[in-house]
Amino acid sequence: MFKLFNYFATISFVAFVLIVGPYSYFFARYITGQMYEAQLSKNLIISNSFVSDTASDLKALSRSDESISRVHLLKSNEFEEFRNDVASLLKHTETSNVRLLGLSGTILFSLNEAELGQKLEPAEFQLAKTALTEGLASQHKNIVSASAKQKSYILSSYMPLKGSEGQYALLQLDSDITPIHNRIDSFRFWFILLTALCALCLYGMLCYVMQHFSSIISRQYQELSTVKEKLEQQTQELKRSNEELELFAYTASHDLQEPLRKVQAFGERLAKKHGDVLGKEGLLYLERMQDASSRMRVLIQDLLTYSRVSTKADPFLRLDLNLIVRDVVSDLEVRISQTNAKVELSNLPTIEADPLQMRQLFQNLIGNALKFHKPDQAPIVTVSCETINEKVVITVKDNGVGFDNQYAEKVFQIFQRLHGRGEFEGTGMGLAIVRKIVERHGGNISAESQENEGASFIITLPLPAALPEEHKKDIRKTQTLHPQLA
Amino acid sequence: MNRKPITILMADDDPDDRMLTGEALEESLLANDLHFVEDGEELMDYLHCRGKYSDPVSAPKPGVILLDLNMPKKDGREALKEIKSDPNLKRIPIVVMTTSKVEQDILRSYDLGANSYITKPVTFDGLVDVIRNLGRYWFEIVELPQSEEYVRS
Repeated sequence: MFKLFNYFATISFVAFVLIVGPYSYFFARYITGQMYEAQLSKNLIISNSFVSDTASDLKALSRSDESISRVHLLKSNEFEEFRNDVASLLKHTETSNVRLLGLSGTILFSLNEAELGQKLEPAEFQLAKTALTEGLASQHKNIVSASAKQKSYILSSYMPLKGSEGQYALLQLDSDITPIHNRIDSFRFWFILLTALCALCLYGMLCYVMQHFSSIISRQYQELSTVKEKLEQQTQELKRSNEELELFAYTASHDLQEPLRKVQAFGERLAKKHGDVLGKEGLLYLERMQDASSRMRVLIQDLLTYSRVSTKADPFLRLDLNLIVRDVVSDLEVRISQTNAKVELSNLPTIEADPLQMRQLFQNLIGNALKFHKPDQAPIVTVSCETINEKVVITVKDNGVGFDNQYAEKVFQIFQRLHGRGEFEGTGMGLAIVRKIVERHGGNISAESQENEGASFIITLPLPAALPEEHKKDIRKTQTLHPQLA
Repeated sequence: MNRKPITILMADDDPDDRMLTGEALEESLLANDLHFVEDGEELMDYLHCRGKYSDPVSAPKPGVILLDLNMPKKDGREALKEIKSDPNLKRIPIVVMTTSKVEQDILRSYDLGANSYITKPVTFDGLVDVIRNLGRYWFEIVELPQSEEYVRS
């Protein structure tokens, strides 16, 4: 993020330089041009008024011969008079010098007395001569004075003087435009400085904001990773304690079986070898003890099965549920024929699951459906299936005694029984095992029932992610084959 | 049955099981001699005639070993491995008789060379059945290497 910001800053800085530099340059040039124009027209006005005020003096001065010397000029009366006039005229103007030039380039008058009578530099005279043809000429010069580093800018304008006999001289007016130049330069300097400062300020602010946000983000990230670490640690602990608990349940139920086996075996020995000593009542007590211990054995075995769902689990395989359910039904064949039951199966999908556990699941569910039948009615068990949102929903429905729907959640608890032992046998572990199996497969199970209205157990299992298309079609076909299930 | 009844050696740390097996043998009317050892160490001592088992009369060579897997000191798996890798002992049939129904134990036992694997029956009648069938199988049906005089080291 900061890298991106740095790129942005560099690019915008370059853009800033590219825009502000030329802009200020051209702006300054434009302003300077305007200033020159203004100064030139001012010079023109000054020159005109100057000419009209001092026309006679000028004429008299210019009449002096080309060969006139500096000494002669200084001595002439007109010169003195003219100089006074010029000084009074130029009192409140920027004009720094006034020269009167003869047509051959001789300086007939100048405020700088040293150059009187001298000839103009050829380049300068060249320009002055253009004024003779065009009426007016001007130029500006940058003069660096020797004494200081200060530059002075001079604008010179040349105006031809006309008399009745034609042009007779040239008037040169030098204006000092240094203050204007300085003003423009300082304006340029301040403009660039201020814009740069503004930009710097903006960048500084942006930097600060970025820094601030990034520190917030990094702090939050740190907090998040701490929380994540903690969570991971807790998950590990939970996993370990879960594993310990499962191992405990497994070991406990395994070890509990041992003494029970002895109780039963010695009970048997007692009944067989010493039955006659115990008498009828003693044998009845013994029988009850034996019954109780064998019931406890079944309980322990169911508990063992329950704990084995996660401790002794096999890896998931691609599994055709049709084959599993058919196997289960054939295992239950004796009970089915005993109760005259009817088991209706619809086409089931292929999923990824633990084969033994899927078998156990359907064994328990179909077994239950057969067990809890009404005394006067043959059981009808239907196993149906549909797919909803990439999930397979399998329903095992019976027409048995059912249960009050308020127990729909309770039936899945361990050792939960809704009927007396005299009515239906069992330990109350079957559905707990079923739920544990379903949950291990990433699904869930729920029950729906009314008393005497049968019961439905609805299992939702995820379909394998990369299920080939034809399988999906198969499942859809099943739905249309069994419209009553939809 | 003109064969001399074979000695059965049972290795089990559980005194109840030893007693019940003895009674079951009686009940099944087999005339075999039944000897007990209580852990893997004792089993190996017996087979190698060490310590209290050095007398060949009181500790005769077993024709079949009933082996429990979970025993103290040296467990059945280790003993099984040791016996089956000993050229002098590996021909003695070993029947693993244990409470474990764990698939892994069953596979491991057969991998180590067990000749049979039986889970201990829950009822005494079941135990009598097992002993009777074992007797029939190992002492009547199966032909064991009779001539072999296993070298007691």
